[in-house]
Amino acid sequence: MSRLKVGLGVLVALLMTAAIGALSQVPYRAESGGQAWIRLSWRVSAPRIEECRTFTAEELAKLPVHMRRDKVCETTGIPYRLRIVLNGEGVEETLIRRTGTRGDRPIYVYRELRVPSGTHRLEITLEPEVGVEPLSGDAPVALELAEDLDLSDGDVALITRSEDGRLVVRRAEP
Amino acid sequence: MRGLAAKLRSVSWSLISRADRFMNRLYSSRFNPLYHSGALVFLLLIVLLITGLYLLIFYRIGEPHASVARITDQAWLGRWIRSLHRYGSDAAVFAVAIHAFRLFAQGRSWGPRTLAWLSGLVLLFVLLVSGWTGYVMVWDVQAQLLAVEGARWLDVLPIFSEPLGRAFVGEQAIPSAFFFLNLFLHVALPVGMFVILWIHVSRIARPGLLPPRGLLWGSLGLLLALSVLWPIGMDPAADAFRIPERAALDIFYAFWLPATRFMPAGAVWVFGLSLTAVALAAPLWTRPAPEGKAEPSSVDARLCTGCEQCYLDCPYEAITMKQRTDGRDGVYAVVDPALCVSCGICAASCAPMGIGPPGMTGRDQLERVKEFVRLLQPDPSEVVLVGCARGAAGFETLAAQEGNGGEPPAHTPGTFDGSRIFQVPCAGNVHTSVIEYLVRAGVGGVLVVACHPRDCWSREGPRWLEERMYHDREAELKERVDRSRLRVFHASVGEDRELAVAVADFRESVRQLAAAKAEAEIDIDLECEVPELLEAGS
Ligand code: HEM
Ligand code: SF4
Ligand code: SF4
Repeated sequence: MSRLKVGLGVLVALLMTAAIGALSQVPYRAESGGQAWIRLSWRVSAPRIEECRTFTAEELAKLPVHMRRDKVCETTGIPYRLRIVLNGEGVEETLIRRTGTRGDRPIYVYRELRVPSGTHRLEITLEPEVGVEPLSGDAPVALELAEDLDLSDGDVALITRSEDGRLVVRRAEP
Repeated sequence: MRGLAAKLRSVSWSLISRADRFMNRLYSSRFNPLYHSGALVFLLLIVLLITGLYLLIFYRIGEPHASVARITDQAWLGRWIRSLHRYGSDAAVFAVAIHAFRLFAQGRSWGPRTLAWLSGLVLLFVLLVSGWTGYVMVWDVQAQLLAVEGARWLDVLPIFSEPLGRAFVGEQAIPSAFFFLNLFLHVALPVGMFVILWIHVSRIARPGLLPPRGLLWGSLGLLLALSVLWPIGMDPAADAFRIPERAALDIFYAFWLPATRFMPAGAVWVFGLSLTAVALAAPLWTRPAPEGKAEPSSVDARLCTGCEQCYLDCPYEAITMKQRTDGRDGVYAVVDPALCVSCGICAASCAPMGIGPPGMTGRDQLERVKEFVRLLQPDPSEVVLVGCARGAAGFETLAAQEGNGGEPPAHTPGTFDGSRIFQVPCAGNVHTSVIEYLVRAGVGGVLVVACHPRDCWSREGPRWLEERMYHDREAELKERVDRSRLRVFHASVGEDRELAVAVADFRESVRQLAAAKAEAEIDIDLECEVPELLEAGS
């Protein structure tokens, strides 16, 4: 009986230790095969603009008399319009504005498109919103990219800006 | 809410006590690892500190993956030291989980233990975050998954001007400041844990920080063997241009990853914060209703002689000695009710019976035992059990087994295998005069049923009981009490079979004593007249 107990004790200790070993390195399949990702990640400067609008009658009524004006103006960055077309189909069209409580942060694009591996036609444009004139300083940039991407299983292609500011595709080094 | 909490607690208690019983059978209560889960974590933290120092010498923030790979290539030292560091941290999470679950199940999570509970949660959090930073240090596929996931969570907070996730997409090389900060956290957090641990046990007298030697060397030996026989290998380095398809995941630290990756980051925050709030609020929702709560101990200064024994024995450092102000010389004991867990241990420390929670003082016990004896009508061939409420002979236990919701059976004194039970809240609360009273009243024997020493809910009850009964600790059991009529048996909840054997054995011994006594009382003069007996005796 006592020998059996010792044997069982050793066995349980070994099993618990082995369980620690096994649970420490569980094979995990994070993503299914057969896919590729296209990542968009870059930053652009957004020259300052002043956006003004007139008060509505209702808003004016709420304001104290000495604060009543025709319009209210806010300084922010120029908004950009991002268009993504994948294999001829529009995937996204968004107006991107500066973030931050005072609209003082830069504009960045950070997206991930998951596609089946294979060849994909990708067209991207990022343009300043028409009809808004910057106050002064830098001119807004306009970026575009149109490429056929040949993506193998598990590939990630990164669309970002090159040193000279154009949109380029970066891939794993062969 | 309270009902639900009580239900959850009783299910957890039943689980833990079954596991305890199994482990006691295998390893004896002294080496039961479940009883020493907190101490095992401390031991493992020391192992992590030592092995971590070695790894730190070779780790390079400029080439994280390559430097860890080089360590792993050192077949003699690096490989198993790295593995021991890894397995040790895994075992630490496992042990913390058991430690916390056990204290929850025993209802030791509220009142004066709130500080330990809350600091324990901080320790757990810091341990998990330290593990996270440790995995990021390796910068393999798992590290990439963890870093990207962490960045995703942080990016929903309106803190950063740009998404942190962009750091990991390969637009630029990952700044070495990132690996430096990560390494800094990986060193600073665990060091900080020792400070938090100091707070964690600050309200406890003589915290058991290390497990007994057999368990200490046994567990270290096993982890070392695991490290040598099954060393941790290297996964491919993180690569921003490859989908992180497969990784070897450490379940102890990244158990949440497979679930959270498919949840919106906002939902992860809501879920995580809710869970944290529930755990942090446990001292509120696990505390008993006011009517079920024991009052803290208090001192009758007139009786206190200033011997300091209660001050020495209190497992929660709730007693201080203060200068007397009533015209008498010397000091007297004062209890801080905010620190007192109402265990009643001080009541048994006090020979003049001047201290204890209401209803648990030596005087209260004597009154109760008188009534107990009056109802009992002592039988010199029968034993009486003095049982801890939480142990195998506790009413709470017996009643729970009878589905009585933990309420003591009204008016009928409990019995175990035909022996009557005098119940106390903790074996360390039994005043030795109660034991003496029972023996003098003519019971055959007194079997004190305590929990296993490391399983005591009041931490040190069985230890002081033993010292007072057999080693003359102050408020000791007087020498005149016949020790052959006394026994202490350790049996926690569920160990009924073991207790039944002990009771039967003691009963047998008591019956032999009774028979011997009866024989000794036979009229010697009458017997001496029988010549054969005289001859046989010569
Ligand atoms: C790194 C993690 C931890 C370590 C090293 C640790 C270690 C310890 C030690 C050594 C004790 C003293 C045990 C004794 O001598 O009686 C203790 C007590 C305690 N621990 Fe922990 N612990 C940790 C985490 C936790 C967690 C996560 C919780 C719960 C959320 C917790 C709750 C408690 C409580 C409530 C006590 C007091 C028990 C009592 O007073 O009766 N601990 N811990
Ligand atoms: S054990 Fe009793 S007599 Fe001694 S200090 Fe405490 S209360 Fe006073
Ligand atoms: S009841 Fe327990 S915790 Fe309270 S003072 Fe007495 S020994 Fe200390």
